[in-house]
Amino acid sequence: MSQYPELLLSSLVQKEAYLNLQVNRSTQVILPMTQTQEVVVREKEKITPIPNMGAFVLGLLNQRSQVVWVIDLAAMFNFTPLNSELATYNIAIISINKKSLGLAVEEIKGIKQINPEEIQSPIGVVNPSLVPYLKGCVFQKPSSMYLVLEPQAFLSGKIYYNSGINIR
Amino acid sequence: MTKELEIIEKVQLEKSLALQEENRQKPGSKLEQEKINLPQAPLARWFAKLPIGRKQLTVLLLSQLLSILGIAGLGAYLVSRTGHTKLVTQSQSEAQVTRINYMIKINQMGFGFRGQADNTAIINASLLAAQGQIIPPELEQQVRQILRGEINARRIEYATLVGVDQRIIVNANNNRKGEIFNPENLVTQVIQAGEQLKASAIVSKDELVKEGAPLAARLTTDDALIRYTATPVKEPGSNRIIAVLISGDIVNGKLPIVKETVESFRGGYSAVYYRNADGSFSLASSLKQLEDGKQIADLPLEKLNVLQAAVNNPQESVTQQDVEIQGEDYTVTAITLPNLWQETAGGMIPKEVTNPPIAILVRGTPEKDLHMLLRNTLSIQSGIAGLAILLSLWLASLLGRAITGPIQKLQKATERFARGDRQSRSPITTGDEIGQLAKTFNFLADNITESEREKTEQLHQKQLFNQILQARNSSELTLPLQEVLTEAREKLGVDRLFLYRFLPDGTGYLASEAVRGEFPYALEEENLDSLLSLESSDSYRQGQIICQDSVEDANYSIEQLQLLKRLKVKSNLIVPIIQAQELFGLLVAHYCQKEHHWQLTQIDYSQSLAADLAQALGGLALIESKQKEAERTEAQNRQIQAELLRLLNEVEGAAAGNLNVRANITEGQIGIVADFFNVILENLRDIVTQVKQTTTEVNQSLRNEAQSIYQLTDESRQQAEKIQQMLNSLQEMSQSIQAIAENASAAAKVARNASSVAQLGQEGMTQTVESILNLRDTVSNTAKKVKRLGEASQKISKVIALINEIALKTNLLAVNASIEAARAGEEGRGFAVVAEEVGQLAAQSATATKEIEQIVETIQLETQEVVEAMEIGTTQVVQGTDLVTNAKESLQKIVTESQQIDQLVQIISLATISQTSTSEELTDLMQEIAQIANQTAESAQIISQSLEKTVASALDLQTSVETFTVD
Repeated sequence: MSQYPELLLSSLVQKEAYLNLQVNRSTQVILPMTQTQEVVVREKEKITPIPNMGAFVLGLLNQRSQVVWVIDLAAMFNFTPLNSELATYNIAIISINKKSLGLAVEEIKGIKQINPEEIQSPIGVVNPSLVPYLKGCVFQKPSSMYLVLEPQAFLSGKIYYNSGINIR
Repeated sequence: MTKELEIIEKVQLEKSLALQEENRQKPGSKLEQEKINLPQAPLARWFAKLPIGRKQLTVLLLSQLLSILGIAGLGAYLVSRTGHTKLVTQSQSEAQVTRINYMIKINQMGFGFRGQADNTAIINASLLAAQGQIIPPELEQQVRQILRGEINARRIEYATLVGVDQRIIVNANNNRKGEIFNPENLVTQVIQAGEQLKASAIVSKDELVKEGAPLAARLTTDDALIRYTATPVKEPGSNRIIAVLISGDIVNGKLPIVKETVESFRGGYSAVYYRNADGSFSLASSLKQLEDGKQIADLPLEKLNVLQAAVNNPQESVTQQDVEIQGEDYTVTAITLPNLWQETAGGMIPKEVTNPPIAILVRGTPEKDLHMLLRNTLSIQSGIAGLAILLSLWLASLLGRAITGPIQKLQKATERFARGDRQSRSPITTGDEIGQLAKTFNFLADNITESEREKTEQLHQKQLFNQILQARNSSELTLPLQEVLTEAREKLGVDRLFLYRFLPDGTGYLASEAVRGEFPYALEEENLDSLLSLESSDSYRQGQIICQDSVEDANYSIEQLQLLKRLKVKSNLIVPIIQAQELFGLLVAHYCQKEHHWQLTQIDYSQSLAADLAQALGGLALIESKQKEAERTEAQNRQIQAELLRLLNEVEGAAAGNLNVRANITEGQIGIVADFFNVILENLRDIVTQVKQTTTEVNQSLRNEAQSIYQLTDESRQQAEKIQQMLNSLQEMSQSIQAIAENASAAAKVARNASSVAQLGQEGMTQTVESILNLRDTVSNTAKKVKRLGEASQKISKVIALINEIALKTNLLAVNASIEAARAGEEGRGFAVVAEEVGQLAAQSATATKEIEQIVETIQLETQEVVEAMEIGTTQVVQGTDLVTNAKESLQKIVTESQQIDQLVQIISLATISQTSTSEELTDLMQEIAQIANQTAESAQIISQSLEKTVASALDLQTSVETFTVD
């Protein structure tokens, strides 16, 4: 057990594991691991574009016989969309109650341990249009800010009223 | 007569003056010219020339050297002599010891065998043999055992029992029973003598082999020196000799004999020699021990004459010194041993034998110690001698300085004196003979200086008188007279001194006067003669002087006294100047300060001065009277001259060439002359008429001839000049040819230099080409390698991309694992940690690959640059090669061309040389022509000149003849 002092520490301060994603150069987001299915890297061709969908919807991905919508998270947040010349997409698949959605991001950073009590309200800190998708935000030294995503908001479907997606 | 005397005196005076002057001018040369009678022998001559100090030093040094070296030499000689004598004695005693050592063994052998002669077994065997019976084998074996025991114990070769019939009964080695054995007739001799005999002899190797002696096999020589003892075996009771026991001990190869001697003396040389029948010597045994104890055996003597000497003197020991044995000097003594001894009750007695001794003992005593001693002694002695010589040198130089210093000072003072420094005196520093000499020298110098000063004074006076003598009239007299009087006045101490001179006509005048400073001159007084008592001139002629201590006491008139007062005369002295009763003048001396009593010396001096003056004035008077006579004769001559003048006036026309004039014939001598003159003129007129005609003719013909000669001269001169010009131009030509030849050779040299330089350049170029080609190869090799490096780095990039991908995938896997763990809840917690670690590792490897990627990129960039640079370099190398090849070819051309130039120039040189010689020949020819032309010109010139002279003479003759008026 001595090999894992962090484990001990985390168990003491009740930290939880979050998946860390780089949306664009200046924005990092984290989301609870428990609501994540897996992360994958897929060639552009593996994602089938679907016509008449919102601009941020990249298409459908067949992942282990499960069809998953993949969206450009940056585009969805009204940031500059992902580079269209990229050969592959880094995709984090979130899943709650068998409902899945792929979030294509610039980079999958890895795992981050966060104390849930550190999560603050995002109101006044970020663009109000983003607030519905967020649980809050976390400030960490030295001066980085992580937006904590609320996966439930993505999967509820009510936000996609103009996107054409129907999350199953 | 008086005049001649005077002249002689004058000449002598001049001579002495000249001599004195000469002496003053070059005193040194006279000093050096002084001949020294040096000895003839060169050594004696050298010694005679040496300064005293050196002489004394040389003699002292020589005597010291002789005595010191003599003592040192004598000491060395004595030490050497004593040492050698001692060494001889030592060597002889050592030889005796050697002899004792040699004899010990013989004696022991003798003792031993005498004992064995009493052995019952031997006696029994001998008895049986003597009785002619057979000896039982047991007995024979027993006797043999005894004899063998002797051989082994004593290390001898022979132990033989011989019967009286000389046949062997028993012997120790090979069984020789029954053989006749009688070495050196010993058996016979023992039977005769009845006592034990000992002998030295030579035994042959064959005999030894026959005997089977233990040593025989080792013997290297054909024979050996052997020592026998022969002991009679006597029948107990009857003392009859029944057999003889012979023992034999070979010396050869047995070191103990010599070793004992060498070791007992701790060194040296010891040997045993034997004399062969033919008189030669063989070495039996020898040993030499070196200083370090090492021993060398069987070393023979190099010279054997000492052995022969010992054989010649068998009774004595013979010693020889400085014998070299293997590089060391030894004093060697040789003694002989008698060939046969007889043992008697009184000891061993040598038996007389006719043969010369066989065994010779040699002992060599080393001379090394003596040499060492001698060397030490000599070095010490020479050191002491050197010190003594140095000391004596120092003392001698001290003494020399003490003696020669004052002498040198004296010598220098003398030299200075002789050179004219009359102030030079020698300092007197010592009281010895030199001091006395210096004192004497100083005294002598004082005397010489004084007498010289007197002489000079006399000479000066004489000169003055001489000047007076030379005076031809009164004015010439004044100056020297003045000087004489001035000097005389000072000498007399009077205040005024003057000379009143009488002329031949009886009148007189004051000729000269000398006055002390402030007193008035008598010269200014008119009636001076009133004071001179001229009325008593007769008593003056008799030599009477007037001497007045006080003028006031004399009977002077008032006028006279006034005059005296004006002249401030207090005392008066008048001395007549007379010669042969004739009065020439008066010498008058005055005291003006106070009255004076005239001293006899003053009067004497005045008289002698007057006598000298008389002589001088007498001469002048004679001259003056002669002048008067001459004036009279002149008046008569004037009369004759007037008459002659008149005659000359009449015939003056004749002098101008008028031969028509005639003189008036008057009475007297001049008239006769006129008559003769007229006759001569008449004759002269006839001659002149004839001459005139002849000269006119001569002139005419000469003029014609001269014209043609002039022409000839001019032409020949022109010819000579032209030849000269030609010659000059020829010489110029020759010079320019020479210059061409020089330039050509210089050009050839330059061309040759250029050729060699170009050749060198070419070689250099070839080397350069080679190096450039090498460089090109190297560059292309390098370029290839660099390209390979680029390719390798690209491969690396590929691998890295792969790794990167793997790392990314690992990272993803790690994240997925974490997700799975998180979804698993509490059970997956540990797994989550592991997954996190894996993720971190993947991130690290990704970072590392990024770094590697950057590095590889840099490498690729740089290799690219290198490849480009290489390509440029290769191009440049190729260009360089081309350039160098071109340069090489140009150089090759230069070489060929310069060689051609060289050849061309050499041809030019050869041509110019032949030209030069040709032009030289031409020049020579031209010069000969020029000479001939010059000669011609000169001859023409000479002819022309002589013609001119002839013409001139003819013309002269004509003009001179024409001056005469004939018609």
